[in-house]
Amino acid sequence: MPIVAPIIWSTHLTVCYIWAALACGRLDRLAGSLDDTLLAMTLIALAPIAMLFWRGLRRLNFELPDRPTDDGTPEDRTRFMSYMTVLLAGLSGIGTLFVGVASFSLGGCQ
Amino acid sequence: MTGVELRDAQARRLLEAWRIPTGWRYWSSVNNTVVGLWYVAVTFLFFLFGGALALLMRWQLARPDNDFLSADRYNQIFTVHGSVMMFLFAIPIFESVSILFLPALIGARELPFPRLSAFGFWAFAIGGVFLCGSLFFDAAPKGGWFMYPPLTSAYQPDIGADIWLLGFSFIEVAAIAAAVELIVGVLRCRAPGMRLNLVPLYAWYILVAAFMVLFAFPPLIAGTILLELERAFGWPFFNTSLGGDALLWQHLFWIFGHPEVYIIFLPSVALIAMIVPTAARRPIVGYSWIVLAAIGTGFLSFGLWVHHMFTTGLPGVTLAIFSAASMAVAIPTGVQIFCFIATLLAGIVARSVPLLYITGGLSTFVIGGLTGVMVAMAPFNFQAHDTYFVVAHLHTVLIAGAVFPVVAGLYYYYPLALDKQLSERLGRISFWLVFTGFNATFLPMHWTGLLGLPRRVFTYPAGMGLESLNLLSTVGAFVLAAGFLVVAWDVVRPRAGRPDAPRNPWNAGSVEWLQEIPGRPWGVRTIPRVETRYPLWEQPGFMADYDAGRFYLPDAEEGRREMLVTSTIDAEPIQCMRIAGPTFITLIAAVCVAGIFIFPTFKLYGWMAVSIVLSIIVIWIWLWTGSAEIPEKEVKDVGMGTTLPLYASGSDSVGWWAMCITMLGIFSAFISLVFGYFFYWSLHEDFVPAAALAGAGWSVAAALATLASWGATLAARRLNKANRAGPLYTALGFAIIAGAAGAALTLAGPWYAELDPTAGIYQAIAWLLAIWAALHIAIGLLMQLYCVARRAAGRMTAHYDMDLGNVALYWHFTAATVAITVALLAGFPYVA
Repeated sequence: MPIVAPIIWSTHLTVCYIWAALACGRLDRLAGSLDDTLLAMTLIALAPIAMLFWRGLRRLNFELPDRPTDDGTPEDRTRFMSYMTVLLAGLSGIGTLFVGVASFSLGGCQ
Repeated sequence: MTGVELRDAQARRLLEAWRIPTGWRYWSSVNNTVVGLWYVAVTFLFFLFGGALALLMRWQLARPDNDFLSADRYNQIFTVHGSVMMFLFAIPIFESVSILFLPALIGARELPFPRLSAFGFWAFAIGGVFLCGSLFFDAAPKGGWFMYPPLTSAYQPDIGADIWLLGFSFIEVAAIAAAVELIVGVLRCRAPGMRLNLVPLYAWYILVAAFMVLFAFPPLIAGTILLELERAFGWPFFNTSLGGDALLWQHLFWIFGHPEVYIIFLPSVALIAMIVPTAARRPIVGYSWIVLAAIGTGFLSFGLWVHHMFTTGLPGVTLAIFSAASMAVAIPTGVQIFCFIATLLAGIVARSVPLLYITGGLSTFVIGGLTGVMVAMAPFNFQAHDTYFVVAHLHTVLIAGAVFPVVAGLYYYYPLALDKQLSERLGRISFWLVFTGFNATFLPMHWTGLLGLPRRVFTYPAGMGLESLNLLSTVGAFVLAAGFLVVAWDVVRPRAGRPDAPRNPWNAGSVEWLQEIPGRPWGVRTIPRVETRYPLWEQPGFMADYDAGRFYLPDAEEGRREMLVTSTIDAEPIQCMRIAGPTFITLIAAVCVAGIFIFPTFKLYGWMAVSIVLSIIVIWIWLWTGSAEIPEKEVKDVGMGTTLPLYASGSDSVGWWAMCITMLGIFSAFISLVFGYFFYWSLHEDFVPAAALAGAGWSVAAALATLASWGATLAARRLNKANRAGPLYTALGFAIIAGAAGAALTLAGPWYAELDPTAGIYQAIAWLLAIWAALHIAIGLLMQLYCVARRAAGRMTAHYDMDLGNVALYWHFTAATVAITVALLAGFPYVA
């Protein structure tokens, strides 16, 4: 389903945020490995997003629709859903990268 | 009978079934076109009220050291201004416009729960008058529209904050009701053939916004409960000396507050997405990219909330995460704007007032978006936070991005609602007044903010370089107001002598413009079958077929109001659903439910209890008389060679979907309370007092009893399907007793541990979670009792079992709630 990728993005953000908040707070024994953990979480999140992106493209035969998906046929509807999967996976991937890279390369617990 | 005579007879029967009552019975209407019109009108009245308050504020700020308003008065006025604009205008305008037009846009006859829409309207009207009225009694809330504790928990003991908390809770309930209506409407009630890739963009945006409401409003409701409990009973959720933390309010408020502004923005952009193709006289460019923008913005907007808290001392990694996410949301926001521009470039554009407001709005919105990216950068945010720079940013994005498109939509869709067109001349005059006034008001605020003028101050000293800029803002505000008054005049001036608009006056291609002018109450003459995104442009003979009643349900043979329920992805018709006609029960219910929220404001808890009892009775009657009605026949011919059932149960029924969506919202509120529990745990090494575990045994017993009730309910559903009445009553009876035990045992846990909720934070949150669980079990008991009564009265049978299906669904969520609560109260302390 097309909304799986954004759900992965939001899960990644939530987990990173909670982990960082606990590491910088009550569970400060986690603070030392914080950056590595965030990097790992980002890679773990990016993998299924990339897979969704790839699978969507494959279903579209690696052609982004050059004509509109606006016929009332089951084929067009399926192409539309695959296209939405690709677009949302792309956006979610960018969003995960934004958040992930910022989290492990900036900040820390100060 | 000839073809023409048959058609006329069908049309007469249809008109009779959908007739809008006259005289004083008019107020019992539930037609979406009538309720929608009331809703839009009252919303605009609140807009004018909030605008008048803004003018008072600007008058006070026109000169330094002004004494037009006292500080206390000013605080009330800016609080009510912000609250009215956000809760009584910006959200209701999206709900009301959708109630008014969404069915037409998706080729449906009505929304699936007309009485729910009417209830939502009455709740909104009552709650709004309650809140605004407080200003005339010098009793208005004055803690800012976001009401931060400890100011509002410890330093404002007067009634204003309670009015805000309780009055708006009522309106939030109405908002969630509208969200349920709109989600089910868009997903299950589209015209046949309207597959997901053909859905009008307005419907996509509304779907996203409605889901956002479902997940954004509950955290606010949770926070409201916490703050009101502290104010009324001293439960120390935000009292640091007893373990609470004011920052929890900020989290809960902004988890609501940030998606809120996108909930406001997206439905307005949705109007742009409908107007631009008409103006460009071609289909929209980049339909899929716009759907991406809507869904992407909806998701990303939930990951931004901490950017309102950058200055609260959070660790750098947190600032980094939310700063990055806040910038990322600019991507989908921009994508849709590029699509609109591309459509206009690729088309042959016809000038009009709607297009003027759209282009003026989008260009200014981009400026506001850019200042948004500026404040998303944490170091800059440290300087701009709580200054007028933020005031400038928020008004630019909200007015340009949400209000301008709404005015465009007003001019565009006015003929659809009221059969006439508004004046191009007055529209152009209003636009230039509004555009000039808006920029004159808010552009200077970027400078005053950077010069150091803080927000929410009732005056400022001379000699800081703020005088002329503030004066300019004030003059601009009056010009802006004049522009809106021109629009208001255009709307209210007498319509009687003017000619009706032609049908489809803008030559649009989308299905809502099938509507006859003058309009008819039947929603649509016949429910059309669509095959493209722009049927009026691309399906030959579409309007002629519609007028001749050659699609679905052109008749009301049994004199009932009927609409089609269709499948989610491909919109194939699967049920002919009968829906409610006019009734006063929605107004009565709204008045009773209002009592639940208004009486505690004045600490009249006895009357609150009476309101609860009355509400239960009224809602019971409402459901009993108007839902899950057993039809006189199994199936019906709906035209076009299709026969459909008149009843659906289980996950096919829209009632089940409504229950599911409502429970998602309620569960979100519960999860917000759980978030609060863990938030407090993260702050205190010694979070759980040792005494708390004394109640653990009771909590475990509570879980077992509740799970037994849940299991018995599921068994009852099976027994009912197998038509074994005796065992069914036994199962439901057992479920009720087990559930009652579960509720009592849930409360017994903290009771026997002798937890005093005013003494410490663990005690307070533990009691709240227990009460929440017990309350939801109690509601579940009422539902089980309802099913017993329905079966006994013959209104639910083995085959027609929607009631029990929906109740079983409710119990899934309740069982999960109790399981999590008990795991927290009786389990987590052992591992933490």
